[in-house]
Amino acid sequence: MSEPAVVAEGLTKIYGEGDTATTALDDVSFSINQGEFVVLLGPSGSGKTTLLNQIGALEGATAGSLVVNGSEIAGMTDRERTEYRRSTVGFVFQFYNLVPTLTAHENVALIAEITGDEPDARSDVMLGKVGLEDRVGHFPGQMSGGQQQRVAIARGIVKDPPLLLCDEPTGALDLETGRSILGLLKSTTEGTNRTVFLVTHNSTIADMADRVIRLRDGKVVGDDVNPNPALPVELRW
Amino acid sequence: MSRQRWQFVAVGVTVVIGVMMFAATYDSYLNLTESYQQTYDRLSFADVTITGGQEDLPDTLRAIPGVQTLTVRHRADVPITIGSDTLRGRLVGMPATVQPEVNKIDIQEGDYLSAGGEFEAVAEVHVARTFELGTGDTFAVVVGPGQDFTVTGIAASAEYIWPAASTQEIFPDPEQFGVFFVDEALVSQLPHSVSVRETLVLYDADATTEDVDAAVHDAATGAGATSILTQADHPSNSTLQLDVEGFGEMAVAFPILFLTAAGMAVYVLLTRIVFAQRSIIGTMRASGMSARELRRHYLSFGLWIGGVGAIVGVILGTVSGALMTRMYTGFLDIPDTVVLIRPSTIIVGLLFGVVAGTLSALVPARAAYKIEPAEAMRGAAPLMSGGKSLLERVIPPLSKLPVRTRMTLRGMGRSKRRSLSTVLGVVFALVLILASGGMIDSILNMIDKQFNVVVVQDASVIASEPVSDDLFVEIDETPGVTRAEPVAGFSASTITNGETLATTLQGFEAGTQMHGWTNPSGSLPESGMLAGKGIADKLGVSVGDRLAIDLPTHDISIELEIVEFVDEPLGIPLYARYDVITEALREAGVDDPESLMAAPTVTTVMTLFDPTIDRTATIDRLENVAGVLAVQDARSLYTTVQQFLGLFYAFTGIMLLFGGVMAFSLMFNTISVNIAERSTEFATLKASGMSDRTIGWMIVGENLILTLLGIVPGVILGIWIADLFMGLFSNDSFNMSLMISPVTVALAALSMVVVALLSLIPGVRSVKRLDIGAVVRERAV
Repeated sequence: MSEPAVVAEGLTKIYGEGDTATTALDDVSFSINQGEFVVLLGPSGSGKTTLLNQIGALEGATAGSLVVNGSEIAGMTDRERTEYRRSTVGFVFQFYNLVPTLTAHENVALIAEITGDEPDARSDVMLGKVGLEDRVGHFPGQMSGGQQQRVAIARGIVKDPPLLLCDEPTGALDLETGRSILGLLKSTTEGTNRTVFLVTHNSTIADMADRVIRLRDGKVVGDDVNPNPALPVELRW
Repeated sequence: MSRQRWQFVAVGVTVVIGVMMFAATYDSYLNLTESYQQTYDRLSFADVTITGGQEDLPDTLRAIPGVQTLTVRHRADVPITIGSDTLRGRLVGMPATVQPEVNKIDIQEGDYLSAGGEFEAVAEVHVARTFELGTGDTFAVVVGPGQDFTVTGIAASAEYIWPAASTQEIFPDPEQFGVFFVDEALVSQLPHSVSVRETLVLYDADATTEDVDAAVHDAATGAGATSILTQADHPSNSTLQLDVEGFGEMAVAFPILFLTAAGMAVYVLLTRIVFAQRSIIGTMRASGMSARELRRHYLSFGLWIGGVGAIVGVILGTVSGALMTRMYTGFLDIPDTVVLIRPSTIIVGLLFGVVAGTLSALVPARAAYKIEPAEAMRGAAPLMSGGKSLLERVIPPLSKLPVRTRMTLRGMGRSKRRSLSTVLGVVFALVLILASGGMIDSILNMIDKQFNVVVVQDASVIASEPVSDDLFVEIDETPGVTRAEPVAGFSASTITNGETLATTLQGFEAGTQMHGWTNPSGSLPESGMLAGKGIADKLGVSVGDRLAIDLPTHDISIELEIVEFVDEPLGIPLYARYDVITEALREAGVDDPESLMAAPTVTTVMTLFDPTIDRTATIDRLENVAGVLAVQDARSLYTTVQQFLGLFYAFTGIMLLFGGVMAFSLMFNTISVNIAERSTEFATLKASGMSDRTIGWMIVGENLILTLLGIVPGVILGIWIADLFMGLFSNDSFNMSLMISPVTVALAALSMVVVALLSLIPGVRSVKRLDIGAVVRERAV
C-alpha cells in the first residue's frame, strides 16, 4: 500500500491573541490516500478554507502536524513553502484569479515557466485538456466565468502537482457550468495519482467525492468514505 | 484613511513642500523688494544717474516736470594703497558735513565727513570688511603727489549694495576695488583723466517714471551725456533684481510642479479608494445617501489633505521666507530688512493646497456617485480588458519573451493614468533638478569661460608713470614673467540709434596672448573693432556699422567699425588693436596719441607667468619694480568666485532633495496603489509557487521602464526650462546661455532611477508580507 497523501495530527490554527483569539482549526486529524477526491464540507466559518490553506502551505499552523507525501510542512520556512507550493500543489479559486493582462495561454504558461521546460507547449496541452484549444489567445475579460475557471484549472494542473486544492470552484458559476467544472476536476485525476481537495458548503457536491470530511467550528465532525461517488452530471442543487 | 496612511503622508509632504516653496519664495520676493525699496527711499537713491553732459544740464533737468531734486558730484577711479595692498579706489564726492539730497549713505559705524576735515573718508562696507578697516584707519590715494585719508566712518550705499564697478564690471575683485566717500571739493579737483561728473536725479514720488525717464533721457542725450543709467539699469540694482526676480519666478513655477504632482497623487489614491469601496458606496447609495453627500465625502479627502498640507506648508514657508530674507539681507549687507507676515501669501498658499487637493479629488468623487448602486453592491469590478503592450505591438519579437517579462510590459498599460502619474513624477522632478543644476552648470561654465578662455593673463601691472620702453622691458624680464604686453583701457560710451551704452574699449597688441578671442575668426582684426554680441540687441547695430565712441575721461570721440562680434559672458566690451586705437585717436585730432596711450591711466602691462614658478613670488617681484604701482592678480577673483560655489551646490542639493521627495511621493503612491489592486494576482502567483523575488523583479521592471519613459521627456523639458531660466538672467552685464553638463544630466537621470528603486522598497516588501490565504479568497477589486 502506498503512503498516505496527507496526514494531519492534532492540527490547530488560532488567529489573534488573548481576547481576540479565534480558533479556526481545533485538533484536526485525518489521513487521506493518494488519488482520492476529497470534499471538505461545512458551513461558513467551519474552518474548511483554513484547512485548505494549511495543506497548501499558504500559512503556518499553531500546533500539530501536517505531513504531505511524507514531508512535514507545518514547520517549513518561507523559502521551503514556496518550493513546496511550486512542486506539490495546484490551486483553483472561486474567483479564478487570472492575470487580466495575459491571455489564457499566457496565464497557464506563466506557471509552466517556473516549473519546467517548454512552457508554451505544456500550456497548449493543458488548455486542450480543459477544452479551450480555441480560446488560447483570449484574455480573461473576453471569456465567460466557466471558461475562466477552466483556464484556472489548466493553470493549476500544468505543473502536474500531486495535490490539487480547489476553494469553492463552482461558487461563482451557474449549475450547468458548475457541473461541467466539477466533471473537469474529476477527470484531471483519472489515470493519475493526484489527490484533490475541494472546499464547498454545498452538500450536494459531496456526493461525487471519494471521501467527505465534515467540519464545524474548526473540528472534524465527520470523515466518511463514499463507496459509490456520483457522476458530476448527476448532481442537482 | 488609516489603511493608506503612508500614501496620504507622501501626498501631504508633497503639498507641504509645494505650499512651503510658494510661501517662502513669494514672501522672500516681496520682503526683498520692499527691503531694497525701503533702503532706496531712505537713502534717496537716484532714479537716474547721468554721466557727463554740458554744464547747464542740471538746470535743464530741474525744469522737467516730475524731477524733485538733483545732486551733482564727481566720481574718480584712482589707485589707492591700504597698508601694503594697492587697489583701484573709487572716490565718490559728497558734500562735507551734510548728506547730499540724492544718494545719501547709511552710516553704520563712526561718523559722516566733518567740516574742515578735508582728507577724511567714509569707507563703503564691502571695502571696509575686505580690508578690516575701522574708524581712524588710513589709506593713501596715489595720484600726483599722493595723499593720506583717514576713515571717519563705515557706510552702506544704495549704489553699492552689490559692489559692481560698472555695468561692464559686475564682479570686481573685492581686493582690487573699493569705494570711499570723500569731500566733493577734493574729488572735483582730480584730473579729468580719472574723474567724471555725475548728475543724480530724484523724481517726485507720484511722478510717472517712464515719462520722466523719457524726458530726462532726451535732455541728457541732447546735452552730450556719456552715460544715462536709470535706477533699473544701475549695475547694483539690476544685478540684485535678477536675484529677486528669480525668487519671483520660483515662487510660481516650482510650487506649480509640486502641487500638480500632489494633485495627481491624490487622484491616483482616491481613485483606488473609490474602486476598493465600491460595495460600501453601493450600500450607502442603496440606503439613501445622496449623490451630493457621497461626492462631498470623497471631496473631503482631497480637501483635508490639501488643507492640512497647506496649513503646515504656509507655516513652514512663512518661517523659511523670513529666515531666507534675513540671511540674504545679512549676506549682502542690505541696510534695511523688511520681514512681514502677509495675509495675502497665507491665503493664496492655503488656497493653493486646498484647490489642488479638491480639484484632484473631483474626478474620483464623481466616479463614486456615478456608480449604479446595484452594480456597486455586487462588489465585482468590471474585469479590465487585456491586450498586448504598445512595445509588443511596435516590436513584435517582444511577444516571444518569457511570459513574466510580457506581464511586466503589459503592467504599464493596466492604468494609463497611473502610469502617466509615475512618468510625470519623474518629468517634474527632472525639471526641478535640471533647472537648478543647469543654472549651476551655466554659471560654472560662465566662470570657466571668463577666466580660462577670455581673460587669460595672469596679472595686470599698473604703472605709476607713463609706460616707458625701459619700464616695459623691466616688467617683461622679471623672473617668472614669460610674456608682457601693453594693454590700453578706456572708459567708453556710445549713443547709437537713441540708445546709450556705457562700456570699455580695450586696445591689445596684434597677436596678443593676453585675451581669448571668441569671434568667428578667432583673432583681433587689423582694422576696426570687435564688440560684445549683446551690442546688437542693445543698440540695434550689426557688423559693418561704424560707431562714434566717446572717451569721456579724455573728451575725445573716435569712430570705429564693428568687424565681428565676440561671445563673452560678462558685459558688452569693445576691443581693437593698440595701433588701431592710436590711429583713431590721431584721426580724432589728438596730436600725440602715443603719449596718451602710454599714460598710466590708459595703459597697463598684462603679463603671463611661468606656471612652474610660484605666482605669489612673481607678483611680489613685479610689485618691487620701480614705477609699478600695483599688480592685479587676474586669478584672485576666479579663486574668490569658486569659494562661493558651495552655496550653489547647497541650492542644487536642496532642489535635488525636493525633486526626489516629489518623485518618491508620486511613485510610492502609484506603486502602492498598483500593488494593492493586484494583491490577489500576486497572492495567486505566490500560491502557485512563484517566488517573492520573481514577483519583486516584475514590479521593479515595470516601474523602472516607466521611470525611463519619464527620463527622456523630463530631460528634454528640464533642459528647455533651464534655458528659459538662463534667458531671465541675461542683461547688459551678463550674457548667460545654458550650458548643461552631460554629467549633470546623467546624474539627474540616475537620481530618478535611485528614487524609483527606493520608492519600490515598501511595495516589494508588502508583496512578501501578503497574507496569501486571506487575499486569494477575496474578489479582486
